[in-house]
Amino acid sequence: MAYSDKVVDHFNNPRNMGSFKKDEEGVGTGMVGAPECGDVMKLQIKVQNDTIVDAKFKTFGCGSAIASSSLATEWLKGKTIEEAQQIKNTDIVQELNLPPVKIHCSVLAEDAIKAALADYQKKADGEGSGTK
Amino acid sequence: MTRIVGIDLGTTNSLVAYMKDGQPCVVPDRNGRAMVPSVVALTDNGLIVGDSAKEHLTRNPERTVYSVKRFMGKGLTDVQSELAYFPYQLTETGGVIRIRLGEKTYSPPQISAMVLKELKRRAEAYLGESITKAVITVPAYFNDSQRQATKDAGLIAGLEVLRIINEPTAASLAYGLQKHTQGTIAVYDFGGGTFDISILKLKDGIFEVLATNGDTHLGGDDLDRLLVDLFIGQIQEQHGIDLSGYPDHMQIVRLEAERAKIRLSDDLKTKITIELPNDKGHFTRELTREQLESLAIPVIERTLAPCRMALKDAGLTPKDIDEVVLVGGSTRMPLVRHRVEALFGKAPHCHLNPDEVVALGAAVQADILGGGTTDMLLLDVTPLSLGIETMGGVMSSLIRRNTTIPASAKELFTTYVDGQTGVDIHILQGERELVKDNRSLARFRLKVPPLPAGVPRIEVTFLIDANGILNVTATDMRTGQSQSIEVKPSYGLSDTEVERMIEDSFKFAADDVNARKLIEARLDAEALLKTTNKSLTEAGHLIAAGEAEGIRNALSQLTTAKDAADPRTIRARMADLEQAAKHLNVVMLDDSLRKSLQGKKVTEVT
Amino acid sequence: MARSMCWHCQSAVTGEYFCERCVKVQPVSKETDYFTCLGFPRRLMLDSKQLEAKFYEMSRTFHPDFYQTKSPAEQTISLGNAAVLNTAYRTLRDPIQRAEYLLGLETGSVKDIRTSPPADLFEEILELQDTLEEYRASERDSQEGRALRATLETEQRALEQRKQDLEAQLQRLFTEWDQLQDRGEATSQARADRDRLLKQMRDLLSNRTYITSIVNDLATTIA
Repeated sequence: MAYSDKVVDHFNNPRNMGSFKKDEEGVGTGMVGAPECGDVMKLQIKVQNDTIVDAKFKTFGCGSAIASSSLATEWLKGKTIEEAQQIKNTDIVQELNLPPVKIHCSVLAEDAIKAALADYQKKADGEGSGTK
Repeated sequence: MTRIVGIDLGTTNSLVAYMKDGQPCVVPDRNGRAMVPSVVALTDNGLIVGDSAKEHLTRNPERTVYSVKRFMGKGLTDVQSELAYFPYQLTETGGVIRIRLGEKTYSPPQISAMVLKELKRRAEAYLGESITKAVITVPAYFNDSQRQATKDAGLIAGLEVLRIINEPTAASLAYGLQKHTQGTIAVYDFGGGTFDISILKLKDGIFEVLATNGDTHLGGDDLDRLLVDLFIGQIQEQHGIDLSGYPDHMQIVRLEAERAKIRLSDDLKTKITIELPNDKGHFTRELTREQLESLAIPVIERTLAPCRMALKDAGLTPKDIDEVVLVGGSTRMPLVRHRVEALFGKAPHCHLNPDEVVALGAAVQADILGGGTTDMLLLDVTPLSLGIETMGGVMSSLIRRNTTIPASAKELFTTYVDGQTGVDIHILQGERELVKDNRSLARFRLKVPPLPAGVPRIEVTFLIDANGILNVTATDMRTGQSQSIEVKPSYGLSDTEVERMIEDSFKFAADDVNARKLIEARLDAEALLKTTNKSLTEAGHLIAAGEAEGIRNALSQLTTAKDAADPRTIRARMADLEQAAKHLNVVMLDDSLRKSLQGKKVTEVT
Repeated sequence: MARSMCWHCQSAVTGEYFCERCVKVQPVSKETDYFTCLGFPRRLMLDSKQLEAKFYEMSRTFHPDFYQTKSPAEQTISLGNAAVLNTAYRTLRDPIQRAEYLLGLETGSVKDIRTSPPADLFEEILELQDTLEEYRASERDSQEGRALRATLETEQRALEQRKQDLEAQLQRLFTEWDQLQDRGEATSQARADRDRLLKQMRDLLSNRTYITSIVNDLATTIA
């Protein structure tokens, strides 16, 4: 099975590892886990003017989970909130050529994106209504 | 019901056994020996196997193949580090090692097939019936390719291999039959080229393997090599001769090292004598058991880590083991017994003949398959995890090691691009995380109907059968149609190649019988010529000139006949020579008897 | 259990594993769950000795060794049945795997029970992973390396204790589940209890998996 250089690179040198402060303005945090295998993923976005200007992740799990989250953060940067909602796990599966046994890693990444977006929305709505 | 025999196809020696009145027995040759050295030699008279081939190790090292089991199911790069130790020439074609013998090259299964044929012939002669079915043993830690190669060897030898069974578990069957033990046993199997440890639960005739581990490249051979390196280093130092340039002398050293190692299982010290090339005299030294043991310790230590791993996988501690059973020639070393005793905290059981117990167990399994034994059942495991390659060169496991076989796993594959017509699958075996550290078993391309992405659903079933061999099938879940998969083995003969080898082997079978008779006649003739010439030189002056002339005449007639292609002529000339030399032999015997009696009183003789 | 026709003589199969008319072995149906396959009810506290005895008995029925002299079709069925039996036994033998499997059966898919992810545990795991990375990068014999190692060892012990506590809690839930099933009530209270138990077990099993996963990583790194 031949993988593109880009994919192998995501695996060997994951991008955007790290984290933002949770309470920082415009930051949304998604924290998800896969109960089948014990993988844990934290994905954060930083939003300015409805656009994701930065994204970071921390993943405890297998290589496929790390590559999935690395790819997800790369994709998120520069996207609007609405565009980010459109990212599907199957896009990640296709890009990384994940086999059936590793599809749950891409599901985890999609869940993490959704959770981060939801967290951002919740915080934004809360701040908007003035209740902090 | 045709008889099924049990065969132990060993690195150093091989045996065949059968079931007689509910008890397994080994098949001996005319001289009562059960072991056939796993050696094949190409002589001027053709290919020979076993004891007579072993003699060619020192005479004809480039054309004498031994320890071929080390090469089963392997490519050349797998054995790069030890190539220097083998005097015969190895090459590779299609991921399979080939051994050059004269003009032709042979795959390891073909060489093993020659040993199997010898065992088959022996069993047929002894039992007086045709033998076509067998159970063959392999090291428990053999991977799929090595098992498949063994099965191929059986096919080439004209044997239907009804089961590939693991050596330590075969031993446990023979042991269990004899001892009627209930409880947990550990079988420590340290042979010529491989090491296995298996932990079994014996209960009401069920032999359930809980865990197995091992090293398919660790055995008595490794100890011999340490001694060989020691001796040739000293010969270089003391005599200034580099023996590595003399393949025949390297074999002399190897065989002497092996014999010395064996002697030191009983004796505390032994004398080494090695003839040097170019009439440079002899290398002699004393070797003590202590010296051997200090060399052997690191090798023996390497067997202990797999033992601990097997215990851990079985969820047991040493005190849970009721009995430790020793198998394989290398377990005769006192140091091995001590180390095993220290690890398990109890004296090992060594009342079984470690050379024969595996073949005996194979005969028991053969009897189970034939329906003769119905109260015993072996539940074995797969020694290595099976998986497929995933992103980034990582292996993901589908069937974990130590899973009871038959074992199966299913995976559903689909596509991510519209109209995609295939999915490449790479199957692996091993425990490491990265693909490159594991064994590549095979690759295949799953055919998918061209449909929109995600629509095709192909279920692939990976099934490890009771032989520990993988079978792959695929079903299109939409249509229910099954798909045949052409799996390309990474380190094995293709089906067509095996078929050709079987054909070759049958084509030459008739020639083989004749060739074999010729080879035997020539070997016997050579031996007779040698002894008669010797007698004539030593005792020729004791007989009449005319009689000596008659013997010389018969000698030259036999020498001529020996090169002819008719075994009957050779036998006839041999009879002539024996007749002509009959009186000479009597005279010689009298003479030597007289000499030995000289100086003794008559009373001592009578 | 409703069974189809015998593959060999086409008569209706009434026997358990064999056609009563032609005595041919029948393939275990794909729909048969592992509990049914081994003849046990869907309970979580199973006697391991009974389970083993049943597994041995069925191995004697299905193992390919006893089909060597039969037709190729029967050999294929025995091979498939033995593989299913082995998987069934392997799954039910281990209490945790058994519970995971039962949860899957009862709820369709493990994913169908939505539980809130244990955010605190996740933070802890990710922080621990940072410490692990620091340790991997450090000189093992340096003061820093030794200090990190001591921290990790303390964490490992604490996590192992937590795992044991979780397992004890699971044991209690398993017993409760079995009692509920034994009563066999169809009341709304029983249904509520059932859903609550499934959700609690799901949470505990998930947390146990996360902890096991980090503990294994800790153990291999420190070893």
